Amino acid sequence: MVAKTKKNKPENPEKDLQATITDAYIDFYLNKGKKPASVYEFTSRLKIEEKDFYQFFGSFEGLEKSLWSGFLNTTLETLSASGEYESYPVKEKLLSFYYTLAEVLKSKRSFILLSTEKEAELLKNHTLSKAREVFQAYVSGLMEEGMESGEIVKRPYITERYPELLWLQLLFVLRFWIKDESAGFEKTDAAIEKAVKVSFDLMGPGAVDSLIDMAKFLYHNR
Amino acid sequence: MKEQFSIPTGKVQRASKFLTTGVKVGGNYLKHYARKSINGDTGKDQLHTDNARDIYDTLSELKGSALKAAQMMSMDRNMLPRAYSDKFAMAQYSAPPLSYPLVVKTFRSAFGKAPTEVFDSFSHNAVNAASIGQVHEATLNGKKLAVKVQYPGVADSVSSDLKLVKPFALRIMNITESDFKLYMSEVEERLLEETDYQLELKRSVMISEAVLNEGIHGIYFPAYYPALSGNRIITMDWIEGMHLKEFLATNPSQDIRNRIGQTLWDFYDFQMHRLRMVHADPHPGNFLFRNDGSLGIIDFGCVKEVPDDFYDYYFRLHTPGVLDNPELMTELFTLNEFITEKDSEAEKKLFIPLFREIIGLMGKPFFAGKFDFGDSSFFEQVYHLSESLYNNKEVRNSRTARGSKHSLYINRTYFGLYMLLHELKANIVTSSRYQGPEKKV
Repeated sequence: MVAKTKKNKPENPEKDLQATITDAYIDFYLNKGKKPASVYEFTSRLKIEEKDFYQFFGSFEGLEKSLWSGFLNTTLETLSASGEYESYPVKEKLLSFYYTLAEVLKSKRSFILLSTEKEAELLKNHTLSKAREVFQAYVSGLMEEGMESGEIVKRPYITERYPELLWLQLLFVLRFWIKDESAGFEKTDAAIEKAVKVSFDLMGPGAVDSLIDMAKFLYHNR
Repeated sequence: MKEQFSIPTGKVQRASKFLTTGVKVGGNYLKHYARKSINGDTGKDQLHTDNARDIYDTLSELKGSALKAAQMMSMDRNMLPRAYSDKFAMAQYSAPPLSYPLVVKTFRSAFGKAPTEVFDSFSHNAVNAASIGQVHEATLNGKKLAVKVQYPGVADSVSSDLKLVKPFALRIMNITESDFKLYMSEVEERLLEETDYQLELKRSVMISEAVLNEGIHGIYFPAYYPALSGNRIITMDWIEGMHLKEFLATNPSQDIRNRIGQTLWDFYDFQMHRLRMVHADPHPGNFLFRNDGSLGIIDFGCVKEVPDDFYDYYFRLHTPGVLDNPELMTELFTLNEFITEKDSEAEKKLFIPLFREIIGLMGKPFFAGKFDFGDSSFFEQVYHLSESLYNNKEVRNSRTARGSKHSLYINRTYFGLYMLLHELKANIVTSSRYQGPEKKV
């Protein structure tokens, strides 16, 4: 999705080069099954200068970091481009976020599966740190909106922790999706429905029923 | 008393909700025997009621196919004592609704468009829930439509849900595991079919067209729209009509009740004998009634195809005079798998008269040619018979499942039909217009 829109806009050559480098990196990783040995090796293959790489990224880790935050930014852009999104209640906004994210990630699924397999800790470590910032900024906004609309109950001490807890939820969805083998990743859809329902039932009034529902779902499926 | 038989909490916490109920039911039996030892005989009713309540409480938290299986058992009242079935009958489909964003996603993967782009209008919230999906109201070109959307991953969960039902069903039905498997495979097959919206669409179109061509009086179906349907979406006309309860509240005249009851009977008569496939979910939610005596039929999710050999021996058995011909009767009982080669003489002696009584009673509408379903005494007899069967130790101790697996849905269909006609208090002609193997289309 990112690549397409960018290819259509050659008036931004810097962005274009950044996307080219990112795509080439993914391509290399997928074909060789590992990271390039060095930035030098990588850039000479790409027939660009090493310094062009550093213009955007400090290292391959840095590249992966902005790749992940890019997934989230693309998701958010897609959402705000859809007319209906703004009129949704907060819970449906978050659901739409996840469904859109799942679509965005789908196009890079091979890379994500390969890189998370290589580095089992990926989902925990700093590769996602930039993505985390983007997400937490997004949900902080959602939380405020939810408290205004009454969907989310303001609770002293706890309310400030919500963005962090929701980040854990995103990691849960991500892990579920990575392991999901169902056609069209239908199970992930169900997991998203249930996870978001639980979190909003916890954040709003009345929680226990949904918690049981989700526990049962996991009991069935894992 | 209560504390003494309370459930060990450690166990409960470890176990799933379903296991919890298993323990509770066990507890209820304990309670029952305790009461019995104190008071001499206490009615089993209290026990059944306790069990039914606990099972129902659990099931109402379960969604999808486990609930369906429970409902099915509740329809087949022969299988369950009354208290169980009354509780089960309360079970309403109550899966958590799909969120609107997920509905949008489902549409996007089916049509590449949001529902609001496919239709002129589309209700944000579901107007009706079903066990495996929900119904939205939509309009297109001035036409009001009903759009059914399926919950994701339902097909995958059918088998695991049924495994959950197993411990209960085994306890309640008291049959051997291998016999149980036979029945459950039949249930699983039907439930899986129910998740197949393409198949449902095909069958809906096929059956409704056949019935309309036959010209059965006073029946109407929604039109189905294949172009607006997909693997997890079915679009059909929104049809107006009242649910049975609302309809009865308008105090329809006996004439109207009879007319609508006759239509219902003829609808099943035609499907059974001509199409050899029947709408096997005659629960009140699938029928819409109108004051002019017409009947709307929706939801062909559960359809039982009737195999030729089963059809033959099932209906030969339901022919007047057969029960008075011991030789023919025994032959047909064997074909219908009521008695098997393995049965001892004593078992045959026990079961042949029993099944003669059951068929004699349940087949009454078939034998009579005309039947007043308003007659409560018939239903009282049915209850008493099933209650006495349940309380018959010899019957309960026999762990052989009796009856062909096909009869599971066929009996359920007829019994559901009887119950609907009973609520309607319809007095109708029950002799078949279509029976006869040569008439099959």
